Amino acid sequence: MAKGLLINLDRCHGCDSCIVACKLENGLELGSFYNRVAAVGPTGTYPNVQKYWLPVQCQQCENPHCVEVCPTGASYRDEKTGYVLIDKSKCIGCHYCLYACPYGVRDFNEKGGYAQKCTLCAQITADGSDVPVCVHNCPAGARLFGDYDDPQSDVCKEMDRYGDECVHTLPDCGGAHPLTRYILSPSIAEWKGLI
Amino acid sequence: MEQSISRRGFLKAAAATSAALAVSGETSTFFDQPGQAFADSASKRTMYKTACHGCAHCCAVKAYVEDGVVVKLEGDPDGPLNRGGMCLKGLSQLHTVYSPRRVLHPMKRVGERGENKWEAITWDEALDLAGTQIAEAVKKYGGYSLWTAQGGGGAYIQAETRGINATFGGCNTVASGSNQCAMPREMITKATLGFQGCVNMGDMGRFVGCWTAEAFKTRVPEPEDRLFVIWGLQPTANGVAHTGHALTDARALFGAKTIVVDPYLTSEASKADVWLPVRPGTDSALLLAWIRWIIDNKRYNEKYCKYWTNLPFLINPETKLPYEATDIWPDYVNPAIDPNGIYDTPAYVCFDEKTQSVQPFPYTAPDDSPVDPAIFTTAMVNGVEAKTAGQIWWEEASPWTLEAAAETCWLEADKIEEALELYVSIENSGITGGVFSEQQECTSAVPLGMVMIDAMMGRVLTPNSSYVKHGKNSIPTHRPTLRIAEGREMCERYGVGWMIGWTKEHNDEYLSSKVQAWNDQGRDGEAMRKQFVQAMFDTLGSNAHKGMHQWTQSALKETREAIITGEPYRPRVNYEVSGNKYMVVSPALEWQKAYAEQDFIIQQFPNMTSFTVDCVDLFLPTEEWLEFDNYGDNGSSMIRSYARQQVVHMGEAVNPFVVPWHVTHSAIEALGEENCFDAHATDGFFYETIESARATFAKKLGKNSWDEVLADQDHLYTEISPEDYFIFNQHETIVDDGLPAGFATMSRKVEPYCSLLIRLARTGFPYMYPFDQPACDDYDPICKFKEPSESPLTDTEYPLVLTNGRVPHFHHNTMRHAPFVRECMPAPELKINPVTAAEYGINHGDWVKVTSRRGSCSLVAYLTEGIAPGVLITERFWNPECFDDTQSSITAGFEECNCNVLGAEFQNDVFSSNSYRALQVKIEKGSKPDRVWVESSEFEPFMPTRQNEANKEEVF
Repeated sequence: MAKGLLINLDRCHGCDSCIVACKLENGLELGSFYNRVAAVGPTGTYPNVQKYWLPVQCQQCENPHCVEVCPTGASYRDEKTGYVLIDKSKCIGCHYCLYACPYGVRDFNEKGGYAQKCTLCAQITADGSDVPVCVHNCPAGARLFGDYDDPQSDVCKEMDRYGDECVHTLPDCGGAHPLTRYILSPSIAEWKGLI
Repeated sequence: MEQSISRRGFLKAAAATSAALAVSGETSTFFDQPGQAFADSASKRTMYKTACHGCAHCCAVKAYVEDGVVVKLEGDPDGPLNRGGMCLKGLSQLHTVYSPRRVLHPMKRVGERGENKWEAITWDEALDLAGTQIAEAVKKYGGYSLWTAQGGGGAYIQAETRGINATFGGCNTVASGSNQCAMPREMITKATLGFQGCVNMGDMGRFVGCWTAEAFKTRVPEPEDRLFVIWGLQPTANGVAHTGHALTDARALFGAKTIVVDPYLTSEASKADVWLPVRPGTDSALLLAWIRWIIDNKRYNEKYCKYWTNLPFLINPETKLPYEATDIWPDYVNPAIDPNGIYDTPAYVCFDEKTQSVQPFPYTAPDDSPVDPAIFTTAMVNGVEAKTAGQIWWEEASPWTLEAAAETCWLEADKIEEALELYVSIENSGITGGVFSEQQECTSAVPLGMVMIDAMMGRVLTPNSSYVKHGKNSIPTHRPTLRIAEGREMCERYGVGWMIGWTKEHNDEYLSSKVQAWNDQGRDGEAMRKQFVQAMFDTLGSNAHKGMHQWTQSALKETREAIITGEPYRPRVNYEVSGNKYMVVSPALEWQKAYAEQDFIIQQFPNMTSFTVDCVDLFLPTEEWLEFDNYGDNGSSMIRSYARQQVVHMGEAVNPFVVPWHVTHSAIEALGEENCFDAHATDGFFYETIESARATFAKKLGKNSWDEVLADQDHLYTEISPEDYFIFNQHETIVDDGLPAGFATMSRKVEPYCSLLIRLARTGFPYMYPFDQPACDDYDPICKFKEPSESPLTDTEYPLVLTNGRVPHFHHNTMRHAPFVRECMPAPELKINPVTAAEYGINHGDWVKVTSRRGSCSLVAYLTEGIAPGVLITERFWNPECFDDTQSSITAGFEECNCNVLGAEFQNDVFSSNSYRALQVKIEKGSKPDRVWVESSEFEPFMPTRQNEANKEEVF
């Protein structure tokens, strides 16, 4: 089982709603973010330009560097869900995982003194009954959630609609093997592979 | 009625107590009365379906309540367009409903205007004060001293205040959402097509929804090509999860193609097949180039133009109106005449290709026509050289070669042609125009050009056209008719206004019956109608800009000037039912001077804004959208119209449709009903109690009671089945006179040559019939290009052209106090090409001082190749933090970052629209204005604080 997000950048129009939905669901404070939306471009020179938006959050890596470097086991892969998660009670606030994450998507909770990041809304998704709120509420239908090992999952079905040239991952730094897939058709823009 | 008064008396005591507690900072727990929506929600999570009102549209949403507190919002997957989506504007209601900025009791100003000092008073005191102030002004200065003001589509209550004016014989209403938004497109489409076309982004949902019923239900692609021309609108920034979702689906699921005309690389443009980044203010030139190319290359639908448009009509050069057959041949017998004398289907005059002569052109089915009319020609009519309407259009368009348009519009000719080839090649297509044109001088020209293009192609009432009608009820059974004014009920009430499609005799008979109805009530109906019409003539700016009668509006410029100069009279007391006027009327600093001259200003809204702080005397708290029941207002989600239900309710906030009833009736009581022009003019718009409102909503929903509505939680909507929704080519339906139905226009055909505008300028027809409003200069019946009054071609002092647009984070003036939205978009961005930025030494992220001839504001530079050198774009903004309690000194927060201080009063002649876009500015490196917050942590005082506020029963 490899549950994760798939984000269709042909659809994403950079409205930031996933950020706000996430913060409300997960009780994040001002200044804390589990996800961000970066504008990639416009590249080129006016008027011959391309642009797309790249929402980025925990990539649910197959080989998560954050788990590797964690000295206490606070960063771990949950057996039941397969999610990469953080056990706050074990976190000593050493920041190693923040440095180790190739995608810079870990956040540090200053008040609590622990690392935090996207949990795929485990509080509502762990039992399989719901999807993360960023997926549920995405105004463009650009975010999907499911098991990449299950051909009938929403993420696999969405990928099947597009050719291989449209399916991307963020650059694989140090063999982390990010699970999250991004769809971007060349007709919309050329994938820049940026983080 | 008696019951509610006694209850109000009881609650008054409760309100006074809780008001005192609220002001002292304690949380009131007295007099808690569990409302129906939160009755049994203790310690469990209860879900309520309702409809978002975060913008002008409507997404079906779910609200979850625990212990009487809304804890979560999410989109309803059952919503036809949003399909579970809910954007940051909607989601942030979770913060704004509990915002420390909410006002829960009526507030009376105690300090000077601008000091932001208030005293909580009871509703009784508030209504007495409001009523007395209105009544005293009316007594002393007459009905014209009262004026009302509304918001736009995003406001919880919009185009209803005209009834308040009429109650007291007043006539002035200023709305941010009319002359400057939607109304002109509505009027032009109604005048040219006989029905309201796709005039705003809300309709984008319908526009995108022009799929077949099967496709709508299954969202399975069909093998037809589809194309949307998105001209100056941003469906993904406006109705983000509504129109934006629909457009995204159309592109992703159906492979819909798009042509986007926009100066900036909007998200729509970034995904477009062709992007035409037109220079702001030159869209009319580009439209004329499209028209020229289509005519020149003979790509128009010839048969449609000949038989379904007025393009072949010969136009009398003296009157500029089409000749009618009886003008030339007095004894001509019109075969389409109605023997009952009710419906009017005139015969016109054309140049017949078959006989090579000028001939009568009666209304028939195309194949039954006795003539083969020439579209583009000039002919001698009674010794006078007359052109066809098509010829007049052609001559206007003929200078606009692709090269000429490319030069004027700062485009590439090849790109324009690429767009045109795509547009003409895909039959299922149409052009939708956005609000941009209504915020500059080309307000009337642009929609005329858009109608002309689609009409030439026959893309009216066809799949994916912007101009479609929905539902079985829209299928005509007789010659279609239309009373075009949105404010028709007001004119009709007093026996004024022409029904298009009726004969003069039938119109006169109908209007007389309205006058007689007043006589029957013991009033002098004719005197009333004359007084009403005089008030319409006296409406500020209405003589020069008669198109404003469409929504019974006043002109911004003339209203502002009248307040300042007292000429021709001075409006003195203002009742504002929307939020931050300084965000939406321009030039804001000039308006500030006018508001300072007001005797008394009343505002109803959920939270205080710059406008409140700067000029309001009495503030009446209204509910947030999670707090009010409502049906029939901004609830459209394509095939469904949604109701909203009260999920929580705090303090003494009142339903926005109930407050105006009480204000109006308090003033009626103070003035005496016998001194009112029409004490019942607001009936049907506003409600005395929430119960009466609920009863009305329930009836509209086809239910016996509101309880019955709520009992069926999953169906808080009315619905047209998809099979009945998509009905195309209705004009071909044969109706009871044996002829094709046609259109509800004067000629029964599409009228790209909008002769109604000529008649409007000369007499106020059709709005003011049977009276003649004094003439003004003729309005152009076709699209013409005029270089904006301030132009980058000639302006050396202010060399850069500035326009504005939308961002997904806010709907007009909303959500500046929503902390999670503000940390995503803390300050307005000034999109600027790096080449231009370099000329001024401006780097990405720098604060920039932007100055026009009207004022200056500060914006944050956003360097991008998505905009032409020399062109700038931003969005309107205000800063509620500027009057936060944590500031050592305050401002009203509308000057610092608000491009609305830059706007000009160059007007469109028909509609009076001011120029907020396409104006000239200069820029220099600036600095962050004092008090303005940009860091996440700074927004802490906006975090919600009122979750512990008790839920209370409605006051009224």
